[in-house]
Amino acid sequence: MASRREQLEGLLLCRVGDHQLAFAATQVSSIAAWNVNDAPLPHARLAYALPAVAGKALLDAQWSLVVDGLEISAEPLAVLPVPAMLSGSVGGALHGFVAWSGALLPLLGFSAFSRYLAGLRA
Amino acid sequence: MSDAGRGHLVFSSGDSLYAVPAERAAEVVSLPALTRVPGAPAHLLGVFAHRGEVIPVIDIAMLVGGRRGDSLRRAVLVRVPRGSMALTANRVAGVSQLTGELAPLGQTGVQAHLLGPARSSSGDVAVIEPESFFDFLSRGH
Repeated sequence: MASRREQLEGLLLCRVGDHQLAFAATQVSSIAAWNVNDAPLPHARLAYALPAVAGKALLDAQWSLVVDGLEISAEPLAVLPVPAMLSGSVGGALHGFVAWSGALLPLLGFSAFSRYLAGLRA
Repeated sequence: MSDAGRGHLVFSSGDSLYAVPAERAAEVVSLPALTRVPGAPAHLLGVFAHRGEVIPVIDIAMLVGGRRGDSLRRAVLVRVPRGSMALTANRVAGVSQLTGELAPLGQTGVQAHLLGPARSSSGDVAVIEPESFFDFLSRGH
């Protein structure tokens, strides 16, 4: 969980429908195009009850997930801590909220969120 | 547990009136655009940043009655020792002394964290027991 004044550099800022999510770039080893006819992967849209669409697959050695699109931010961004009520939510994947361009983005642990999505799919 | 003789902030959400002990009601806030939390239940509308703190917003009409509240632009910010939450309010009636009983309205679910039957100058209210209500929501309900 992020401390109150933490800042992070190197984030993947991902678009999922009308929503946005952030991951630490160091948690993802590769990015590839993904289409709905490709091998099934957990899609972040599941967490918003949205149908899967083509997007980008984020992968590490063991876990993967799909988002609609993404950009990479190299600038340091402030991370606000998870409110007590939401501690442990999203299968323990919620690490904080990133303030970016006037919006708050949930900052998620990559592997934990992939596991969470796989659980929704099952 | 709440005491009817203390001042309570009375507000409406959906078709019902609710009250929270006045000392737990920090302020009434206008809600900005909210950030949805992935996988959140329907009554957790999202979060917003308020003075450097991330606040979860609860649609209490949805939580209690299963129907979306008719105004989601204002909320009562409630602070308990463990954290903060914002409860949607279409109208804030003000601080009122309550009369009546403050017993749980049910044995299970959210009703176990609402007390009554109580009355305010605005009508019948369900009194939110802030600490246990917060803990109930923290368990993912």
